[in-house]
Amino acid sequence: MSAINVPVPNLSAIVPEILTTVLACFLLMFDLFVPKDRKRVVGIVALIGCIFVGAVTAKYINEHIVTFSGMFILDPFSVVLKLLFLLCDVVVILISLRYLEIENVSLGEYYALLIFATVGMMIMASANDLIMVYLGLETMALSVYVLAGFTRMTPKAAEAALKYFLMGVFISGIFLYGIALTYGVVGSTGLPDVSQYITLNGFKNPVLGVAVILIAAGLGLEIAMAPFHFWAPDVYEGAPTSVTAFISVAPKVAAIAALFRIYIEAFNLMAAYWQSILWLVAALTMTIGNVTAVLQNNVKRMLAYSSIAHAGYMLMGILAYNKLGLAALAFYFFAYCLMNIGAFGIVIYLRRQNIVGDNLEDFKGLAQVHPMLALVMVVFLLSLTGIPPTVGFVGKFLLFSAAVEAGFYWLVAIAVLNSVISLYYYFKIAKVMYMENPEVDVPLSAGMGLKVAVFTLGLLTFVLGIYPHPLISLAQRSISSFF
Amino acid sequence: MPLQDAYWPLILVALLAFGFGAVSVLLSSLLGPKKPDPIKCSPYECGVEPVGNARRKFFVHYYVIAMLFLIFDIEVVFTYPWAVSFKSMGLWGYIEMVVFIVIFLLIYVYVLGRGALEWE
Repeated sequence: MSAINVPVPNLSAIVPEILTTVLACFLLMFDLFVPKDRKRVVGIVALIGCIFVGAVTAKYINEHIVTFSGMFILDPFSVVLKLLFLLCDVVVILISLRYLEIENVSLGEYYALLIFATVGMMIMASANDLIMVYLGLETMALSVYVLAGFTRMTPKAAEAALKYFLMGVFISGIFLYGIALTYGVVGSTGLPDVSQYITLNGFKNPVLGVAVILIAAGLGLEIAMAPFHFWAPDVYEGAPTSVTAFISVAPKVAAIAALFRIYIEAFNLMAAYWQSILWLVAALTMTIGNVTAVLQNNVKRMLAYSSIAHAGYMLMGILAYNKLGLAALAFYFFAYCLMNIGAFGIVIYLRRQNIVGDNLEDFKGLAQVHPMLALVMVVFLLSLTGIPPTVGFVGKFLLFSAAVEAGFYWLVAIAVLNSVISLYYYFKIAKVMYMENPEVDVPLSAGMGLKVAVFTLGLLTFVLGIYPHPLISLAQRSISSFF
Repeated sequence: MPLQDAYWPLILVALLAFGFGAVSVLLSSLLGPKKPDPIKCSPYECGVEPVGNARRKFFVHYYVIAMLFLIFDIEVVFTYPWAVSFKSMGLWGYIEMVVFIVIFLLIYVYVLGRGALEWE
């Protein structure tokens, strides 16, 4: 019998993952000892834990470690993404604390699942091997399926979870097929190995082309890009709003980052090939997202279509395939996290007894009842549209200029036209808030966490729009391991 | 030993297995007493009524127990190869397995705490 040689990996590369896993397991155990009516404590512990893990992770920003036989990579790009996921967690926990009690599902498992999903996304951000991407994808997806159906007594949430689960399982099979085809041709699933094979043997084998498409399809579900976006509106509408805020940002960012790494590290020589596919997909994604959003009267559904459109903009960052494109992508991830979770936070803010807060009517006359809240919502809407002085404008500007630099003039023209369309439906909400009178006089009763989260996000969206330098320097630092 | 010769024992075992099965079925149908009744003639389906409405409610505990069984089954699947190559995997492999088993212990504590193993 041949001895199995187990090389000892460099464990310092996975310290953030280990800490996050320990945190999630601890939350599960801790939850057992917390009485039923005080589950908020679990959320607060999760919040402190995330901040602690974030502080530790930030120390690795200048490291570059490849370990686990080359399957796992810790570089500035992955560290910046990990920090983003933890930021998402912090904000989502803040907006969930009170909301879960209103929905009557204040359970400790919610926070543990959120952290488990984060572990999966962290692995995706650091994956240097197709199998590793799959592992992270599944760890994340399984937690998120459960979260989507967390208000399990409402039929809509159950439907959302089941739809998400069925689509996810189906697409992960397609993704695996892509990995299998790559392995069949190359004989390895490591990203550098694939790149090396293509350098030596060229890419005449059509199977590689199929693999490139199947891999994009597999990740495309989480990105919600054009032909794989059908699940998104139903799931976003049915899932609890705090979960919608989470799944519209974090898994999407993780999947785009993984797709980026796969295309840049493994299929770099096939750039002309995947660029021509992504061009079409990006144009389709943003157009379908924006045009369909115009017809929506449910704000959660509208934001779902708008997030499909934003995925289309973000694909331009991969497509540009240059320094500016990657920096713009990293910047846009943060900008998108701030403004999109913020907008969903306002929907949660409007959640009252018997009112879900996601109908356009629920926003009627908000400016009279709560002028500050309406103002913050306008900031988020401006930012989502991409109008200065907000962080969304800077992000879009960087993305579009990267695409222009790479010579995609037509795509940028389509994107700009799409931004104009988006102005219509975003400002439908603003119009209702400012031009109409309130219908219901049930007072708003937001918790402390939600107030802090929404107003901080609003302030950041505005301030980083005027002074984006800290975020730009972070984005520049993240690209140092590429190009 | 040439390759063809290496397969002879396999073919012999296959013939033996098939022969034993055929002979015992044949003998029991020839020699066995036959007193059919409706319950005996119905196919065995783990104690569940074989014919009837498929849309019936199952006690949710079945699923919980099945899932737990699966999880701990996987644990054994991973522990077995480790036990076989215990020496060559050394201290590192030992530590890895201890971490793995501690995680299972946590699952067990969680399951107990949630009351998933109680039948009411």
